Amino acid sequence: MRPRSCLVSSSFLLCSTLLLSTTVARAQDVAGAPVVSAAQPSDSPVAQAPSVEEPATPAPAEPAPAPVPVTVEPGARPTPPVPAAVSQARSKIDLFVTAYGELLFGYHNYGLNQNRTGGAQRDSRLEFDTTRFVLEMKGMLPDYGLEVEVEVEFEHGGTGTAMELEYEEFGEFDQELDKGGEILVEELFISKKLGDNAALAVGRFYVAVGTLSEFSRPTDYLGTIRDEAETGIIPNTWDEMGVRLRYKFPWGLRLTGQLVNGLDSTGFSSQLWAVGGHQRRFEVQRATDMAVVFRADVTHFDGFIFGVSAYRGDTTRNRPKPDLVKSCEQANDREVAPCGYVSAPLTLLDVHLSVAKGPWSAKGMVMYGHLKNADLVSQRNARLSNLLGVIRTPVSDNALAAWGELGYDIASVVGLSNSHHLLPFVRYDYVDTQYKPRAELFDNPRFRRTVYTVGVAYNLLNTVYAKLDFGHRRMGSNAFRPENTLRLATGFNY
Amino acid sequence: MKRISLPLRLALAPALLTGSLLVTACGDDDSSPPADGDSKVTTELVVTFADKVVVPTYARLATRLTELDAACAALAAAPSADKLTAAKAAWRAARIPWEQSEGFLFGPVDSFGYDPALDSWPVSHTELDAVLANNDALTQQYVSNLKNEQKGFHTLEYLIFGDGGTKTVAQLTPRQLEYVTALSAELKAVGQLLHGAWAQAHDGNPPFRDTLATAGQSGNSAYPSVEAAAQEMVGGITTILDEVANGKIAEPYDTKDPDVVESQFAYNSLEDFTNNIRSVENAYLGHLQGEAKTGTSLQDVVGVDTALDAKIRQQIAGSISALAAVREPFRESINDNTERPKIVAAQEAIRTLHDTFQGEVLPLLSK
Repeated sequence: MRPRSCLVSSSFLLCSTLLLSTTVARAQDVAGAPVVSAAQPSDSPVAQAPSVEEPATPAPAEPAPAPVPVTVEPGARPTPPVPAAVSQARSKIDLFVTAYGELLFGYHNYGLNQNRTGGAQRDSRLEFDTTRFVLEMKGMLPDYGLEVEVEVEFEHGGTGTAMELEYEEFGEFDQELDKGGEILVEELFISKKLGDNAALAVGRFYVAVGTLSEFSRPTDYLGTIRDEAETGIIPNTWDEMGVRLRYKFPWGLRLTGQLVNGLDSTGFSSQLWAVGGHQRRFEVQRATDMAVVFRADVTHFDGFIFGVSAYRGDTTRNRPKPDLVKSCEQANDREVAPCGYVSAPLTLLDVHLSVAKGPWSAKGMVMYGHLKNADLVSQRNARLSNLLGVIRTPVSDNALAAWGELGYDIASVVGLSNSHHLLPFVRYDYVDTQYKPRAELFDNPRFRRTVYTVGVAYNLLNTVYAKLDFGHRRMGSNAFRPENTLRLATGFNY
Repeated sequence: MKRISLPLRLALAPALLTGSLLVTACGDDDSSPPADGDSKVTTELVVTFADKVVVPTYARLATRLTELDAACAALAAAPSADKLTAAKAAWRAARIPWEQSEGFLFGPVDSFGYDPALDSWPVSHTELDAVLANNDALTQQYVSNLKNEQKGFHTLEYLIFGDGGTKTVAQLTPRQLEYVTALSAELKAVGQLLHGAWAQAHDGNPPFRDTLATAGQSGNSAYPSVEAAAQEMVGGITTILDEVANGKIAEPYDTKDPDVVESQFAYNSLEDFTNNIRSVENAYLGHLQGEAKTGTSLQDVVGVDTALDAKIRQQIAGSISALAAVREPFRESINDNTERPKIVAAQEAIRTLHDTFQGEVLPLLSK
């Protein structure tokens, strides 16, 4: 499981992790296998389950209903008889299931075609979206400090697509399935606790940059949607495969280091910078170019988390074909890229802040990105086959994103009990996906966007929530029409 | 099986003979599809299409875009009314092969995005003005990096024609001329790439002409059969007929929005649409206008001078004459009550032609 908001002491920002408590009932099916039966909710609050991969996590401030693990004891199977040695080797397994779901109802006062002269035309349209349903499952062997976590996300209520590169078809791309929506395994890793303060994980997990890697649940942030700034330049909840090491110093410094597969530069574009570089088009992730991630967060001050993160990884050798290569004379044509590849490393730097103090709730982040040799990437991308399904627009050398939100809990002011949280809030998003580009790239003001949002977020026990906000988006030139959006989001988190 | 007795066979012989003759006669009837083993859907069909229609059209486009670039360069070097007139004429001349290629918008023109890079509209005035206002050097590479709505035929059209073709040489600023030359250089480059992709090996792939011409041969998974390639040909035809009737004409007509009219500055819209129909005609007949027919074409598959062939040719001619009845500028006719019935009639004629290819020609291409 990725670091949840359990790290924050504010009751609103806390992830309650599990409200559905389950007890264990062991049974046997016809074949004699153990079966976990439906369980009864627990009435009494139970202490938060310890997290293996979050050593020294501060305890949550609010005694929210917490999970009781579903415990399975495979060693207790009566038939067939289990040898004593194996039986003793098996330990108690704690299973946790958590989930959240989001529904979104949006009104937009602008047309779908934002490429029109003067920006999108005036319009009046509604959009409904089953934004996502996310299921997280965690299995723990506490005696061994081991944890396995899986997170599956169903986006837009549909199925997904996959592509295959068919070299038998002279390198053509094949699309296997086509329907709206996606089903994604966003996390799948095994974590081992190393001593009291460290944890090592291997598998698929969130890339530890920005704010969304920590705060992606709908009750983690105040707006109806995730911040437009961060999701405008890097993948939205960015997961990759690799290894991760975390270390928590006792006085509140938390370090994270990751080594993961890099991005694929064929997906970079003018409007969404590195977002499309997330390797999702193929079944296997290319990791010839790896990326290193470093993150440091200070959690020492009650209610405050602030820190920095950095990402660096090349993006060329993860392209579907070895097509961004250097040329040279007397190349050995029996070798892929005999003269080497054009290096196009991506660098990301961010500073971030989270505040959850009393009734106050705030978040903020500034992220800067740089892509080396963006001109060469753009030139090559322009000649890609459209069957690859990428945008093929030039990518800028630099991108900049910043956002912040501030809310104040007025539940007690309006006479609600402490089970309720009601936070009027303001939010600011700024994203420029063509920030200070090279001389031969037009710095298009259309790609410089600022969003001002006001709204109110309500939740009950951090479990069921409803949010309403109004966003006003402006482009980098007054020649473009501003765009207004009114959104209502509701869902659950348990 | 029990055999029929000899006397009975002799007695039935005249009837059997007559019957077989009748069957043979029916087999030769114009209205029947070709019998197995006599299919006109052959390699010659796709080879003729590639070599007599597609490649010559793109060759002509590359030539016309080269001439357009030369005219724009000459205009920028020493602006004069004559040179502006020549540039406008060169632009119109280049539009002809481009629009006549839109009956086969598959292969490299689609795969590598040459279509939107050449021919996106409406132009983006906001960003076009921003480009003109900044101090960036307007090189071919710079233009190549621009959004499709900031480059291609229609941005160049806007700059040299102005609204309604009224642009005068005095109105052309040095900055606009810089943009014009960079645009035309990029158009020329894309035209050459597009022709080259069909005619020459590219990026380790064979010329697309060969990919089409070897349809059905071992190893050709793009076109595993000649029928698949023939269906692609008819697919190209129905796609452009649908686009003209239900996109190019219908969208501005339905929304009453002159801004979404193609070639609205040069008042070349109806000429464009007509050339789209010519594109269909060329693909159907297997040769360009004014050239002699050689080899097999879709017309042979249908059957020359059959009822269906006559219908198709009549519907092509009817579509062209229906378009000719509409008054240019099309951008104004969409809001003119006297023109609107003619626009509807043109749409209907083109839709009818579309339905004929979809419903009566395409089924002939199955095994």
